[in-house]
Amino acid sequence: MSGLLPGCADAGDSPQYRRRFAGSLPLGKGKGLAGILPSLSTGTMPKPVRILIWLAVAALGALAVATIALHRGEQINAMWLVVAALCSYALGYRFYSKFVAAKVLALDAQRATPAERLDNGRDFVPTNKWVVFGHHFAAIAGPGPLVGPVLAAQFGYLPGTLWILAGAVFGGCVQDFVTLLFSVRRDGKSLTEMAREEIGRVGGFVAYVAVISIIVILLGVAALIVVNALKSSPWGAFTIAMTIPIALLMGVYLRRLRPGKVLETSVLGFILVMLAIWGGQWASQTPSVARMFTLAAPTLAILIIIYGFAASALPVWLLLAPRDYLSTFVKLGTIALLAVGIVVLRPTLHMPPLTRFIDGSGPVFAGKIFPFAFITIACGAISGFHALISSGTTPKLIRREPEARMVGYGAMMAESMVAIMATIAACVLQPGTYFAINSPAGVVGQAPETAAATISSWGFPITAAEMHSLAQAVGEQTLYNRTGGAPAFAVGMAHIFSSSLGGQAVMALWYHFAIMFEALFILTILDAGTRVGRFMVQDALGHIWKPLGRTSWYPSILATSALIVGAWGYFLWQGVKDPLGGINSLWPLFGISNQLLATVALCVATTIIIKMGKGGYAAVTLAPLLWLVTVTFTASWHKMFDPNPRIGFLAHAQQLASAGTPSHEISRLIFNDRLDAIVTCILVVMVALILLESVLEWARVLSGRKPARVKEAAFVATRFAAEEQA
Amino acid sequence: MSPRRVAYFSGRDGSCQVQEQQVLPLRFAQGQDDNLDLLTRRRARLIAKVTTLLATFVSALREIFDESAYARFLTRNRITSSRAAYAAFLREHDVAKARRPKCC
Repeated sequence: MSGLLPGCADAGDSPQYRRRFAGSLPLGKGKGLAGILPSLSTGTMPKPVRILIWLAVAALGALAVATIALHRGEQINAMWLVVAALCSYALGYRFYSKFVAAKVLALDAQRATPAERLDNGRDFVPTNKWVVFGHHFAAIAGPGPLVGPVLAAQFGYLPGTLWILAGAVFGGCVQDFVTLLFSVRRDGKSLTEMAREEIGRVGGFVAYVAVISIIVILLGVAALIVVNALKSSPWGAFTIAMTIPIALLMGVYLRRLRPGKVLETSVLGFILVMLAIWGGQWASQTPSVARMFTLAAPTLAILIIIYGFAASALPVWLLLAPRDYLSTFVKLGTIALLAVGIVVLRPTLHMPPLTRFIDGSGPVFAGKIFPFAFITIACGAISGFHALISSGTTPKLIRREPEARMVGYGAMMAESMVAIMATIAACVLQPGTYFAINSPAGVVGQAPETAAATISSWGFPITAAEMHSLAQAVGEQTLYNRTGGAPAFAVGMAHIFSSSLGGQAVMALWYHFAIMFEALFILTILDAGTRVGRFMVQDALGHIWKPLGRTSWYPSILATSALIVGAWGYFLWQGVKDPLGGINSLWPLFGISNQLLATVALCVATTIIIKMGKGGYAAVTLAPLLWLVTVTFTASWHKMFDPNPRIGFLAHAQQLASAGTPSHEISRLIFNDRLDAIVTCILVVMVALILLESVLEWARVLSGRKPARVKEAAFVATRFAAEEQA
Repeated sequence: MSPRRVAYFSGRDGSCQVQEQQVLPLRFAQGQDDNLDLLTRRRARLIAKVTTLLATFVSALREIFDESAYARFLTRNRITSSRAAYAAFLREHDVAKARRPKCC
């Protein structure tokens, strides 16, 4: 199998395994990137040389990790993080994923995939592995790996970096890989279907509810990030407002003028968005226009809720599809640009490796390093949501079974690299600047002087004058209390690029480019997520009353859209009104629900591995499962019952209630706290149920009381292998 | 020396096609044909590899942006691109696209 990295040319060491893999190469045996980069591939380099090279990679990785872990009191270059990441991924892919592929999953190059067997030119299409890799990466890469690491940077760069690397190599990549492969072997079935078939009805139900919950919480948090990034920012609000007519124009252009020319339309849309960013500067400097686009957080929240409802009810081609194309285009371009920027400019990290906030007193979000660092960073390390993608479109495109390794494991490595870049973007900022941007007014105070004095008293010196000049440099009125991670990431990215490309003069353009990129990204998720949630609710309600299940019946569309938008809109409103900034309570809730979904995916995977008769290797998924259960259950307990009001929902409600006769506003805050505690409790109980059902199923199979029988599609030999051998 | 399979990408639907070509390893070719300049052959191989990389990249973009799906739709239904054809494609494709989750 041709690999993503040099030296990954074969998937197994044994001749038998090599033979089974031999037919899997769409680009010719032993070629692909391994052939282009001449070569660590096994055929062209003597074994001792290869061993020496891999030893060198391991030594370099160890040196990089030691440098970022052991340096104290002096700043290090961001390239150490990049080198540590690349070496970890190379070793993880070359050795660990190869082990999983060969010993645990026994990938079979002779077995036809559903893309081949069920090829209909529509959903099931055998596709080149690099194309599937790009498609899969574009689907799994969202704002999560950008926002989570920025928030977790309050602990310093070290905890986040280590968790991203270890979590991805041993957890996230494995979860995506095994879920993808098991879906491929089941005709591309979804995670919920696999949970129902392999674990039981409770498993299927829990997976369904977990998916709905995560969608609702995710959308609420994502919308809150946009609100916090755009509030009191006429430049940002103007640019994002302009993306709506641009998307509509793209929809009409695609349908009427140049049917099917999506790339061309996306390039056109991108140019128009660039013009909108440039126009935003004009808008912010023209008082009459600036007044119109200077919006308070509650106003923005209402506008986004209305937008979400409209986007869910409008035809797909008019708004959702063009915006999706545009945001994907911008996303891939920006990630590539950031990667090049970091490697070429090699910025210095100003954040210390560990901050005093590992004790749980952090201003960005409250809670100790364990467990909160591990639920704050989800998508860059392990994300349950990826299991939905790995059991969605991707398994229907995989041409040969062994290619699941590169697509599943490899694409998650790329996603993890994005998280490392986000960590770098946050940590190149002066810590005082980082905390001034990310700390809510309820923690550091409303007045600039008060906030600067509070942050300086923590040992991260910053002055109100410095923050004022930074805000002016990026074209904003203020950068205080911009919680949510997006503004800090944008300032970090602008800081990296403005150090060479255009200097301080274009810092405002870089900043608003990054804000536009994140907001566009998130609004696309709001469009798509609301619609996906709507379909799921319609599917469920269709069992109660059939017309409600009809996806083209407008009363049902409006009712279910309102239901989903109302649900995430409630969380958004709660966050906007929260004096602690909303992110403090909602991001951990999102992290918990996302990691609980990963728990469901790993339960399904472990069950299947045991039923395959590979119980001896079950630790591959069982170890990350146990870690996630420990982390998420501990975090959930803290969020519900911790006596610190900044951490525990119930303690916070108690604190508010004991302050005297509560006003209407305070009563609402108390209700929100209790609601968040109940939501957390429900999620934990449901995942405990699926865990219990899984353990019982494992016990039945391992003790022989139940036959170990997996529900895979019947074996059909692939014609691709025969064609390639001919 | 047996022929080797190489891939190319068709411009219309972006799918990967495989055909046989006589691509000889460098050291073998050197011995067979001394007239060919080593550097020229290396450059030609490099260009071929870069072209393959670019073709793969464009194919990935076409797949991500559904242009390949549209091309397959046209091929399947044996029709040419037009407003009506694209509208029909969107009708078929919209349901699947709208149900596709976007990750966080």
